[in-house]
Amino acid sequence: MNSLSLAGSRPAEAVAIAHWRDFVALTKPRVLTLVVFTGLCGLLAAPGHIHPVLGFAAILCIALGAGAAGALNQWIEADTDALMKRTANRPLPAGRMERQAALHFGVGLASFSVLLMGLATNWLAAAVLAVSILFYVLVYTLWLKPRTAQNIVIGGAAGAFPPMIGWAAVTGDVSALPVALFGLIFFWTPPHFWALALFVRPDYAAAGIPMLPVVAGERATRNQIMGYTLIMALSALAPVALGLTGAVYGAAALAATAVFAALAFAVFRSEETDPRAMKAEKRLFRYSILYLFLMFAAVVADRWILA
Amino acid sequence: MTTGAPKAPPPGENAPEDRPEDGIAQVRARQQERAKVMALVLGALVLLVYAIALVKMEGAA
Repeated sequence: MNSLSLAGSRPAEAVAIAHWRDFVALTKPRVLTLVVFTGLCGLLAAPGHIHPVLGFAAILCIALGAGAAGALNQWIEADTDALMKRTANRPLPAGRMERQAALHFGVGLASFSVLLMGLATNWLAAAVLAVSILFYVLVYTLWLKPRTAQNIVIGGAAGAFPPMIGWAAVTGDVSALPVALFGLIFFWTPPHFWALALFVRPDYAAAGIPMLPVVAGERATRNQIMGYTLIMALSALAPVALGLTGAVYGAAALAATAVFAALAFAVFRSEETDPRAMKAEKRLFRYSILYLFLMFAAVVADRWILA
Repeated sequence: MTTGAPKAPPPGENAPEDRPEDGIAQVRARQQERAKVMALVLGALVLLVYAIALVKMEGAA
């Protein structure tokens, strides 16, 4: 929109000229931290050498690709975001940005990140990045999220790609360890998100999003959190059992996963129904973020210390 | 009981949305700020692509 065309118009239209900070908010910067960190760990754990400039470009592309996926997610979900307290102040539902601007920003950023990844590193890494963006936008946001309570089980794959992309950027291939790391994030996602979904259930219910606590109830969600935690524990220990990592990762994985399992067990045992009083669920959600940081730091430490 | 036209607010106390010139000034300020940020981002990207090209050429040589 041209500013000159606004002369004499209602200033309400002026809010459509979004602030640059709103474009940053569109990329979900807090989620990006974890994505960038796991991508960086995949890159650092990979055997071989990558020039620091190319390594920096690869991580930047992972961040931009994830930011683009976040922007397109917000473009698609602007109407439902407006119904939830947690998301109502995002740039689109709050009316601080035109929808078309968010769409152009997301598509432009996604295309640029894939192209730059291909030129800077290799086209396998670029292809995996493109698949991760498309998976998050088309499979998770458009298809699964509004239709099934298992949305984040399959949709979790979108967030599991970054270590694989980082690895592929260095080696040009995808071997057993990045697949194991993919599995770890994949099985970590359900207990992480369902712990959150338990204490923001009224929000999801108000927006009509079929998250597990909304459609199956709290008891079923607590059972599934415990079940997926056990699968996640096996997945966390698989790299050691398969000889893909050493003792450093093994010890860290054992300790960090034991704490995760204990917190998940507390959620499983809890009968709390008031979202504001759900301490065990909030504790599990907070620790689950730290857990992923610890596990990926352990992968890198293991590679570097034992090397 | 009041009748007739609503009382006009005293001068200088208008809400911002009632003053089109404020809206236009806000739009111009935002456009300027966005242009500066865009210039910085583009400049950084040009440098990055230049550095990538140098590294790639070194590797090819």
